Amino acid sequence: MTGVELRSVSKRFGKTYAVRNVSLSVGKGEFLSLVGPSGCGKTTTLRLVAGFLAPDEGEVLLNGESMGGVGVRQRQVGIVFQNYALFPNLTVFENVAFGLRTRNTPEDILRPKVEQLLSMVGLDRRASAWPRELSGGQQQRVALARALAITPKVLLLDEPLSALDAKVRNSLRFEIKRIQRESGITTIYVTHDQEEALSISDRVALMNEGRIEQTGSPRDIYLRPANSFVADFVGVNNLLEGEYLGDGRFRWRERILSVENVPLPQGPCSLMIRPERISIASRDSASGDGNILPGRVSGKVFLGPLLRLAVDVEGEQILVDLLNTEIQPPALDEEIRLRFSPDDGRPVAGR
Amino acid sequence: MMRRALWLSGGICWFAYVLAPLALILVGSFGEKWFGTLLPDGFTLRWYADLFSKTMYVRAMGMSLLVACLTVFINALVGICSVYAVSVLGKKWLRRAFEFVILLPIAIPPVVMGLGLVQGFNWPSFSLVGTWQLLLGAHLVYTLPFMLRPLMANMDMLNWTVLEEAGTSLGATPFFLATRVLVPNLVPGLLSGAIMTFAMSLGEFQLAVMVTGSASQTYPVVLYQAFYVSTGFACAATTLLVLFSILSLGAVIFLGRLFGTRSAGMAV
Repeated sequence: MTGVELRSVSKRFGKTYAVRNVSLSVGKGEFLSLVGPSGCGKTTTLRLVAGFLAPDEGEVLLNGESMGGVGVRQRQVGIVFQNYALFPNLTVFENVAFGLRTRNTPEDILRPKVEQLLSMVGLDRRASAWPRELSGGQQQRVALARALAITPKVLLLDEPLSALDAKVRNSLRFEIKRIQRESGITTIYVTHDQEEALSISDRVALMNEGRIEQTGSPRDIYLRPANSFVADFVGVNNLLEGEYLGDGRFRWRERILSVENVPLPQGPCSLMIRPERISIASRDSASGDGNILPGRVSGKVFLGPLLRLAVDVEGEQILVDLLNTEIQPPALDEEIRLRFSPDDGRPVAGR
Repeated sequence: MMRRALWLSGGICWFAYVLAPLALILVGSFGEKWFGTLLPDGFTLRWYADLFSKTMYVRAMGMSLLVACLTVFINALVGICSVYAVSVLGKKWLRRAFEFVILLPIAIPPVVMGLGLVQGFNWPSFSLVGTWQLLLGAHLVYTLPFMLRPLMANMDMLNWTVLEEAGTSLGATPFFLATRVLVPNLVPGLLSGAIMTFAMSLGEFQLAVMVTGSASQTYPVVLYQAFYVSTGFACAATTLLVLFSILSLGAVIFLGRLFGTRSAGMAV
């Protein structure tokens, strides 16, 4: 049974489509991320699920029931907002209790429930604090507990971590994941941060210009992007524009490179080579079954565990990530030969 | 050196123009005679006894308090509804129009407004001129900008659209949201608006003198007449008004400390 289902949903603002014919289903208890650049329609999709917006076409289902004509108040969805949206005039306890109060929950049920939620997010000792006395991370925990208090059919998180600094963001990311797993609640998580989406989700839906470009597990999306947009979005990629000749052959400029054999029609497309899959070939080694690209080191960035090189190959900049354990990194302006094996060059549609 | 000189001259001006007249009036209200000297002669409580024995003054004070309280109350209601509407509808042009409309009464002198009211509400068969209700209406319009300003600033800080979405998703009805979230969070703005409008209505003279009749005279109007009675009497009457202003100011600030700082976290 699906927790959330969108059936050919479209939403227009004026004449422009914010969401165009989107179909998506999220299993019960599944954690799905909607990710994409700003303006791609991910927040609109979330608001369609929440009920703040009604679709122009198509239909939204929660737990198998159509939500047509069902308002936000009746939908029983828990929402966590980017800027926390805690009620400043209520204590932490009362913020979490708010949803139960609207349902006239008796005190002897409400109190233990709120206390349990507060200890789940690690704030049981701040129950009587005011929201303004808490740090951003703590406020967002309260918001999470508040959303969960109404035992929602689905938990919707709209960029919940983007107002926080990097350190808090990382720890809270895992905490959200832990709480979601423990409570087994269907979750849709909106973010523009691909790393966040890939690290937290069971499944990722990547959106662009109101459509879903690809849905899949983080591993799938990362290793087998459906097209050049996805490839570009989910990591630093070298995308070489060229032509697929079929049968694992790719023409880039004057060269024929041997690449992964993919079921793609012959014709213009892009070749994706991950920076960490490129190595430096020794000066005189034979190419073997690998591809050799001669170039000149045009830049070096130290990234902690990695050293990122920018290498100029026939005017095209190719990024290469080397582990910093390499004994002798090449110097700037040094002429080197890059090598990648056919399995690491993946043609993707679009250019 | 320069800074100290500025402070000093500022202090002197404040003393000369604000404190000294008030002090003189206070002293004058206890003096028996005050003619041609810097300070009055003798000590008496006669003027205060006179004041409270004259029903006209007592009634006028009651009238002033009634109009001022109603002005605050109605303007608070109108204010909350207006800032809510402007914020929820979220239209830029609406906000501009609103800001212009609330500025209008400040731009128009009260005398002009009073004349307009006297002309506009004086029909042969049915005249509102001379009633306290007309004065109330005039004060409502006159003081509304001063209620709306702090309320709008308060509302702008609230980020209401998101709070409303959060509350609605948690199952709150608009009424529940208004009473449990909106109004408690507007307390600081309401209080500073209330202080302003109350003080303005209580001391307002120009509109009152033109619009009210003998049965609906407010305190500033009878106070003006008091100077024709005797200086000591007028001083006592003035002291009473100042006293009332200060007391009600104190009461509002006290209420603000009671509700405002706890709930909304902002000092008034």
